[in-house]
Amino acid sequence: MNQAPFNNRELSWLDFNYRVLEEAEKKSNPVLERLKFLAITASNLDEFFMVRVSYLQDKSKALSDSMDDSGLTAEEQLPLVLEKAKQFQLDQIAILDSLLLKMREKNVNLLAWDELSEGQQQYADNLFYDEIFPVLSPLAVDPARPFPFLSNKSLNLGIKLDSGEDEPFYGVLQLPSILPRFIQLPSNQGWDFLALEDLVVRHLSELFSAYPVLAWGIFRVTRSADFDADDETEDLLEEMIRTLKKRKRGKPIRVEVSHGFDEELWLFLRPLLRVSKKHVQEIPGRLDLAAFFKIASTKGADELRLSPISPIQAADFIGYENMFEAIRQRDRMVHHPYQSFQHVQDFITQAASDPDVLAIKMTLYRVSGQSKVVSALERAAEAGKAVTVLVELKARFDEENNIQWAKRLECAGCHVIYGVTGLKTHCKITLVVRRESSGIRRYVHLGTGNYNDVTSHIYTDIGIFTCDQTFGMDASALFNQLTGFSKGSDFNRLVAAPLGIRSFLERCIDREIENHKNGGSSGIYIKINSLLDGAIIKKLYQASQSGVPVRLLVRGICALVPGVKGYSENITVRSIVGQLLEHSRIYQFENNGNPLVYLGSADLMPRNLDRRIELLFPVSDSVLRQRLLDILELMWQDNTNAREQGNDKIYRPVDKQGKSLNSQKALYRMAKKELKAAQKLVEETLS
Amino acid sequence: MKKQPIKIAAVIDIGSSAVRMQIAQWNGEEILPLDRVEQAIHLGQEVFNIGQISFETVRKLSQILTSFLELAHEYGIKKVRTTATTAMREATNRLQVVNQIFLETHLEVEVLEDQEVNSLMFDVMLRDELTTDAKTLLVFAGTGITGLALCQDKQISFTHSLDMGMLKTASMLRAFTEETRHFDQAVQEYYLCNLSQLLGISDFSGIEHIYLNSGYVGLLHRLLQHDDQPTTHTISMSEMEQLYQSHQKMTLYQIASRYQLSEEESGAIYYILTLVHCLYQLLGCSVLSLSSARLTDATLSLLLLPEAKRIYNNTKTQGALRTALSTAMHYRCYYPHTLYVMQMADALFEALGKLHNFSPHQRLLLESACILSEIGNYTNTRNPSRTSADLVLNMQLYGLNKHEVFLIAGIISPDDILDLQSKDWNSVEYENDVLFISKMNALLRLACALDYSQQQKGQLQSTQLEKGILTIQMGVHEDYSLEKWIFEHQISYLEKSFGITTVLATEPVLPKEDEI
Repeated sequence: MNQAPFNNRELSWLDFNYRVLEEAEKKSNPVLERLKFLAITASNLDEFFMVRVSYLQDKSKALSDSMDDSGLTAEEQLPLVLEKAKQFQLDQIAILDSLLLKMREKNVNLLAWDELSEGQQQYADNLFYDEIFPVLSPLAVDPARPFPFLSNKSLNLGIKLDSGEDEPFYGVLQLPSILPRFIQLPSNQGWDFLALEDLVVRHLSELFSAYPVLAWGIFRVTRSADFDADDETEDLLEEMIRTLKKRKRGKPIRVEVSHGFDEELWLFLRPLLRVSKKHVQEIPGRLDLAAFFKIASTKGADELRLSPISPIQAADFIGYENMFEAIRQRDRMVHHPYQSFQHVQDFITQAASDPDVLAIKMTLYRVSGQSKVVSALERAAEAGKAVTVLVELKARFDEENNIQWAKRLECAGCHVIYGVTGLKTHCKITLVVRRESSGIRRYVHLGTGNYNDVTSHIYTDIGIFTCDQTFGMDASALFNQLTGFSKGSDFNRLVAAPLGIRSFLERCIDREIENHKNGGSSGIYIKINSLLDGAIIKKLYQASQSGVPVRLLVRGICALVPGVKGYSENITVRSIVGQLLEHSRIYQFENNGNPLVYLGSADLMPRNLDRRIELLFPVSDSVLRQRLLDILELMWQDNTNAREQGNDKIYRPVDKQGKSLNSQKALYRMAKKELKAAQKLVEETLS
Repeated sequence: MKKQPIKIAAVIDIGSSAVRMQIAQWNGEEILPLDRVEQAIHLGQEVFNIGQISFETVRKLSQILTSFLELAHEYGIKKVRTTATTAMREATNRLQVVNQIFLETHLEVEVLEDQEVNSLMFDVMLRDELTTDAKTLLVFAGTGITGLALCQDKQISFTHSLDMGMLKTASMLRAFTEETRHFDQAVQEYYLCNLSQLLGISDFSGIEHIYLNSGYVGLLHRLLQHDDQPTTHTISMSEMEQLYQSHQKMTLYQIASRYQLSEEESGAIYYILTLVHCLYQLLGCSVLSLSSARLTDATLSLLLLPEAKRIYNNTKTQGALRTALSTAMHYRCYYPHTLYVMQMADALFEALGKLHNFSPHQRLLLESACILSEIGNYTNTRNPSRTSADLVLNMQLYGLNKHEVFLIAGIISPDDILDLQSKDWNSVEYENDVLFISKMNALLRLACALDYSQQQKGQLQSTQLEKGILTIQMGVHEDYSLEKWIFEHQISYLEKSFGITTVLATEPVLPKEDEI
């Protein structure tokens, strides 16, 4: 093989989604947990079409002959991707069908109208008249009227009506997204649901009362969302609002139609939807499987889901009411969601109400709608503290949310900055400046994940709290750069993209190669979400060729192909997909027996290394570093949720040798054990 | 030991190409940096091209300062010492700009003279361990000026500021590049001309070490491919020579393109390389140390380090006297006489000091005047005092600003200097200066009279001020008639300036060989 082996980005992503789908198939998972995984794959796939397929289509239309690292042009990729996505959706439906049967065994029933009891039918009809009918807008479609705009990811009914003449009339009915997709019905035993479309179809003749309904079909439009705001603009906020409006009206990129759609009706509708045949997918079952989240999270059915990993107190903060006091003693680490995100919120909240705190600075990428972090920042600003918040308006699909609370923060008196021109600020860092008897002390929180209290329950992330003055200096320097106070400068401890991470990692890999050549101990272990960067992959191939053992734990896209003779025999690639979304990024270099461990916000994709402000930060506290090494080792031992990529690019479950190990459950146990030990120590000290 | 209180301070420097702020705290043991910010602003380009700072730039400057102040407030700092250097000083609308900044930000901008900048920078360098006891040339490569100081045993004996810096080099290079392909030679010749003139003013022989300070030292390290970028670094001159030779034929654009630098940065690199190359040609020393300390480092040290201000003032005083003395010696003044006159003047100053509330700084000006008062005698026999004053007026004395140098010249020859400078000062300041000069001149005259023959015939025994009469008691060992006669002629000046009469009483004593 002359050319280095690479997986195509899009196909690799679809492989990842297949791994999530496998969780929906996995019999050892409780049935509603499986349904949740199925819904996740559907939601993922929608986003994939909106962004990646749309991008490929544009690139293909532009007749771009540039090839990706796997040697494919956009034109070559598109049919491969569409074919695989088509098969994926068929597989989803097959799994859904089997899941619906399994659910029935557990008394979770998605019922057809005829299966409803009389009382349930009465209930559904009443609901229709009281709540659904008033918000429906049946629309006649003919050449004299413009075709109505059908919003992204909406479920629609196409209707053929008997005009009484040769040519039928046509109509369209959009099912508004404010309505629940599945209606929970009163039930004596278990949980019964009726799909919204099934109820509406029952009443079609009332909605189009002037003409008899001849045929109907359900279809769903997915629109392109591959728009970026022009951040050269003077007012990024306004530009982002404009971009969001544009995105809502993006061109259709996929139309899913229900099986058996009336041919004449479809021949009429398709040209009006302006979508080519290759972008139409006939679904032999329900559309919009993401909506099954609703059923998957049915209240009272906890035994049908995995027992939740409820965040507990971090052992590092046991015995301390004041977080600053704890951090002053030594660096602290919190591993979410095993350990509660509340500690991060407390850090901000305590800073906001602490009279000695002079300033708080923070980067925000994605936060929840009811964020306590945002409320604390507001309070801090109102209390007269200097609060600077970098709100990244370009965080995809969170733009609208971000605009809302960015405005709120501004109203409270915070100094809000809307990102840096040309770069997305993806790093997660908070700086608290506090006046103490020993002078000014800076407290820094650095994390691998967003300051989002909702996703922190599902995403695995790690955060470090420190008041090491070199980190403080670096944090100040970083915020000065972000706020435009100063130009780029060298950091003491932090490594930042776009200027530093790429070269830093290359140096680290080179050093491992050198150590190996000199007979020292060498090794690379990287845990990330995506590995796509060609230059870094080639560097890892180089390390493998030199004999350096490389372990990669990549949750999602992985363009690197392991185990290829002459390239990657010393590289192993695994992926963990489980109850929690693996999200932390950890970089470990053996460094001749003195391991270097870095955490950070950066994956290894060109966008992370070249077009975003990302941070890697070293964990130098020996206790914390050892904990991280243990965590990494434990994850590598996972033989329940881990899959390993073969040199044929296929992921297979890791061999179960010996006792089965679910790393996420084991880490939760580890957190509990640490907590217990810390509590015991405090009790002993007090007594 | 009592714990020293925590001190936090912020300083801002409005430079020719950037505004910088540094915030730090003193924890009782060391200065800990807290924050360092910098914003580019092209004051130098405007001032050196059109002579003044535009309205837009003033507005931008005010905005930067306002944001810097906000940052300082985040550390609980209310007052920020703000200095400005060459570009601001040379702007014809300086007063208006400073006033507008005050109105916008409430910052009082101190516009520093080159000599003050040099003193501050050299103070930082002197405290650095890289300044050894060896004879060293300290070089401050600034945006607008190049400051030079000779030092040995960590004491400065000569200082000079050349009107050539990074901005001038860049504009010169641009002009020469259009004219000739030998532009490097033209720039080099210009440097050599300016630098070699200094060789005639002081003793530059035996310099073992050049210690260069520049804000662009980090870039230099990058070009030298040093992995780390320490704040100071000692390298061999041959390494620098190689670097110069590989860049001397490159235009600013080419340097900028090769290293992805701004034009300003490439100008700075060319300036430093040429400067070091020319110094190497002239002095031949083999060791170069580099420092990247900023003016803000220097001003912060003064604000935070205990005793720093006193030590700095002391260094300035010693440096001023030493540079005055080395200059006087360079003019071949007679050393024992010079010291004798200074000693006499000191005694008179002491006697009258309390009553007239003289300060130590005023004593320094009088002492400097004593040392330099006769340099004209060895240059021009016609009107030597005026010649001395003229020479002093255009002289750079370490640690002293233009106004202080003007006062020294005034003490030496009041009538010539006050008449010459009167338009430059406002009336109140001018009148205070006239009063001070006339008092010090009267003391100088008496001190000179006491050793008119330059033979140090007498030893001062006492001075006493009582009921408006100052009695000077001298023990003399040779005929003292000439000195007495001259003294009588100078008494009127003291009477006029101090309102007292003076009596010179002598008694014969045996000579003391080792008196001076």
